Amino acid sequence: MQRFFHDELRQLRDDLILMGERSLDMTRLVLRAVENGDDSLALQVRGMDDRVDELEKRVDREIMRYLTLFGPMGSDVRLLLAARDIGHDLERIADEASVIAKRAMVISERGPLKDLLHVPAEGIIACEVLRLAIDSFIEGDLAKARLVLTRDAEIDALNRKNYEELFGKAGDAAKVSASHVELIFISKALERIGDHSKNIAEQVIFLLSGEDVRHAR
Amino acid sequence: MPQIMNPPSSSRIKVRPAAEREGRKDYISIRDFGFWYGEKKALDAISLDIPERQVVAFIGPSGCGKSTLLRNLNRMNDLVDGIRHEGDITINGRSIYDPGLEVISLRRRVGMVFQKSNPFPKSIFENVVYALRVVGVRDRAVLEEACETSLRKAALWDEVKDRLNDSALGLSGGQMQRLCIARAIANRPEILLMDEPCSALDPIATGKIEELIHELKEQFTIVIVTHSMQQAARVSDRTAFFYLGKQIEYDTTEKIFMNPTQAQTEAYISGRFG
Amino acid sequence: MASSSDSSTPRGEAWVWFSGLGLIIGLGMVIGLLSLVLMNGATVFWAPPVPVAQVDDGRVLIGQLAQRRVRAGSTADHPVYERQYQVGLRELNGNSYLWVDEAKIKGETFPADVLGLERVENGPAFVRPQSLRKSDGKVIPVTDAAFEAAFQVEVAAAAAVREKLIEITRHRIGDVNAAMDKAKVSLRRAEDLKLTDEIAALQKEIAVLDGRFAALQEEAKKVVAGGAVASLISQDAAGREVVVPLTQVIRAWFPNRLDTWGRVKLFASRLGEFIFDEPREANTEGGLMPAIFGTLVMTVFMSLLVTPFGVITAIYLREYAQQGPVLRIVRISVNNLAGVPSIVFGVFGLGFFVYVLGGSIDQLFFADQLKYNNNTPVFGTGGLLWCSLTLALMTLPVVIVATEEALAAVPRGMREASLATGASKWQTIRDILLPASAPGILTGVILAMARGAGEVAPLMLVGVVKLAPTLPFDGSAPFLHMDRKFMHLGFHVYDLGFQSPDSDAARPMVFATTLLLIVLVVCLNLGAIWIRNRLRARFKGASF
Repeated sequence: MQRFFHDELRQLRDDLILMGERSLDMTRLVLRAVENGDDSLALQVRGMDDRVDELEKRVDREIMRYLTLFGPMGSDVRLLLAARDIGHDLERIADEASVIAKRAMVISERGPLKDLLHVPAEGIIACEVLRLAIDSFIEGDLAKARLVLTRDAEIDALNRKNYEELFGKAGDAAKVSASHVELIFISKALERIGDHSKNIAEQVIFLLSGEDVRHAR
Repeated sequence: MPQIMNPPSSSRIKVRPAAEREGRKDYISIRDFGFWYGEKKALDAISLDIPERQVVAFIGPSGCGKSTLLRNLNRMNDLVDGIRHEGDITINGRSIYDPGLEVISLRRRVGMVFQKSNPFPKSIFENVVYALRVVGVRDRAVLEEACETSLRKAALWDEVKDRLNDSALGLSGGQMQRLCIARAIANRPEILLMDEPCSALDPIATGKIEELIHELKEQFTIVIVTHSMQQAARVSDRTAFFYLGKQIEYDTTEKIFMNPTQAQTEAYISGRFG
Repeated sequence: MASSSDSSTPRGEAWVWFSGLGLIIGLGMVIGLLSLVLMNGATVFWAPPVPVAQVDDGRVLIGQLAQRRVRAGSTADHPVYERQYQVGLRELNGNSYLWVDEAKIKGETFPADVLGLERVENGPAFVRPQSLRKSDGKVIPVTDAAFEAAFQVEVAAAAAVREKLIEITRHRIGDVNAAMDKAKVSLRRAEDLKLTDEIAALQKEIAVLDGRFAALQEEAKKVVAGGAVASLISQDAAGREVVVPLTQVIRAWFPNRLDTWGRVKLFASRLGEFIFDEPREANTEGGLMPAIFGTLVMTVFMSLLVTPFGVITAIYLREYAQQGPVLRIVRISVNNLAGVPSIVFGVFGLGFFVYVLGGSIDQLFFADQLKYNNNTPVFGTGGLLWCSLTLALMTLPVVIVATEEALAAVPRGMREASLATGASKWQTIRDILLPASAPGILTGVILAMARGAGEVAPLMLVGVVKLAPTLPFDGSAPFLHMDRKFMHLGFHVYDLGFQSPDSDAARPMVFATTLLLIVLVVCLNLGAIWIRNRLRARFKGASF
């Protein structure tokens, strides 16, 4: 029997998905901004961050209300707990995208950068992984969630490569510029986005199977 | 796979959120109301406003006076000897103690559902239309139509439409209580009073009645007394907490259960009372 | 506390055995009573073989064995048995019954030609038929083969003639007489008031009625004369000749020729007559139809009267009256009313209902009757109405108490639910409480009926008679005559047992009537119980 307050869980899920899509949009847009040196895009991304923050607060309110008033049991509890963490992670992803936008604007002040190291590739994978994580939640797909856990390593690898290449170039002072340093920040931010996507996937695995796969070593 | 992943929508009708539904803010207005059973003071200076088309829950430990207050809203306490009151209760601006107002006409505008379901030993049809017969409706077509409308609203029509002439006493507990609700709303009262309507029912039947309350609040002003805080949290828009005949706190349900002002309220809802 | 050993002898069960014993004794008493009544009552209708007995002093008796007992005064170790024979032919023998010492009987034979006759007057007869004189004059001796057939034919024909005569004399002449009485009363009134037109009209009417009366009498005479009536010539035990006109014969049978099936048919026929016919011979013979009818009608009326009064009183006491000392006194009085001896009710009924109420009704509505009909009271004397009222009053407390209990047993929730719907107090009582307590109320009515049907003492004072000329319910308007006196089974028993001139003849009838009364009350109760069960099934939730 479907109860009337179960509609509120549905609303919660919809809000989370909305947050996910927004964060993903922000990440994609900001990467384009980086590649094209497009400041207007970067500014747009920074504006979207506010909306995601509002959504996070709304999701937290909904979770608190549901927990207090409707006494959830079983998988509903896991959903509420997972939703809280997923919300936080998505908000952090949006923040990171915002940070990337700021760095992109700093770069473009100095003029367009030709060599973006491995950042675009890293960005693509980060977006793919985030897409996977969000889809695993929407579709309730354990396989996709586990795939996220493995693919996160690729982002880490690319991030390390960016470091190595930059510090490789460090010897050649003429090739390194302040913008490259900004690139490292961007790379780091993308790596963190990957980590948050991994967290989301871990929460999805917890939601679907009840298994706590965090801090696996 | 958790069921929530793709839930279908539940309600049969569209129920608007509380703020949209709300009509007159002091539809039922209780002002400095005190009440005595003989020498014993049962209620002390109760003041609260119940808005139109909202569900208000009265909660509190046994003996706190919540049922007493509820039964005063349709003056059912008049049946007891030696009672006395002070203060006033108005419905839609008119005092229920107005000497020009007949108690019978008050009770026709205020329906009541009791803790132990009490259908009459008559057929299901006769039970539902009793309220209409009482006011003098004789036309068979009118009665049948009202019966169907009421039973549909009470989510009982599909289960009993083929046996309207069977005895009402042959129904299950949950069905009987829904029948009593149908009976209470048959004559379209504006207000519905429910005195622990689910205490004698199992969880599934209770769930069905709560769904019913959720739908009915689109049309009726509902006051429900319940000893289950969880139920009050689920179904009501506003909640009043009573203790020893006094009103401790009255606010929106979210406020009462998430962040109450009074320490007693906090103690009660967290189970630390008593 | 360890009980001794295992439970091969149940301990602490003694009281169960005792109560079982008490139950058996009680049941035994009831069954014993019913059996006694049944045995003694049923023997009235059974037709055993009839012996011809030779007594040692030379007498010969032909008679049905009625009783056998030890003679009063004989010692226990030398009991002297005596037998009572029903010999009939009261006009010849002085008495229908004869006691003979058993020792004095030399022998008994059961000849096949003994004939038993039930007669309209003078009781039964046991004779040995000699010949039959048919209505056309021919005489057939008993030895003739055609005797029996002819006999049956003539008996039937005579019965038809008798019926016709009764119809003429009783019914049609009776109607004419009644009309005549009314006309005469009106005439006297008209003469008194000097209404000449009316006087003339009434005198004409009386003349017409007179004419009709004379014509009917003629008709009756013709019926009697017109077929010379057949008659049976026989010999009694002493050899005397007995001539019995067949119009006197109600039933004839050869007791020593019947097989068991024949006896059963005779039994059934007599039983039917008992229930459906009218009494004869000062109520010692014939049927009890008027008494049955009277008992039934009175009981029904009593129930119809007591139910509304009782229910309304109980509703007032329980629902409307103010709680307080006055109410308590009223309740105590009602309960005490149940303990008042029934004869007191009879006296009250006589004094208040008959004389005061009846007298007033007569003064107000039947003043003419009184003035011009020799002060014959209509309602100022005992009758069906006053009997029913008196018994209704007597059984009132039973109904009141049962109704109050039934009303109290209706769950409080039902009452609250009704009031909460906005019903007034009266609507709640009418639509919810009364239907729900109907089974309990009916229980009270059943108890009242059972009590009322059995009381005789008050009835004797307010309207029951030994022999009523008419039924209280007949074809003439207003069809139901509440002012008429009627017959009652219980009173019939008393009358037969103690007031009858021929107590020997009456004895068997006493038992038969008692049996019938028991059966009637049981049937009434069963009927009411059936109605109650139907009601209970409809209102499943009732606790009664």
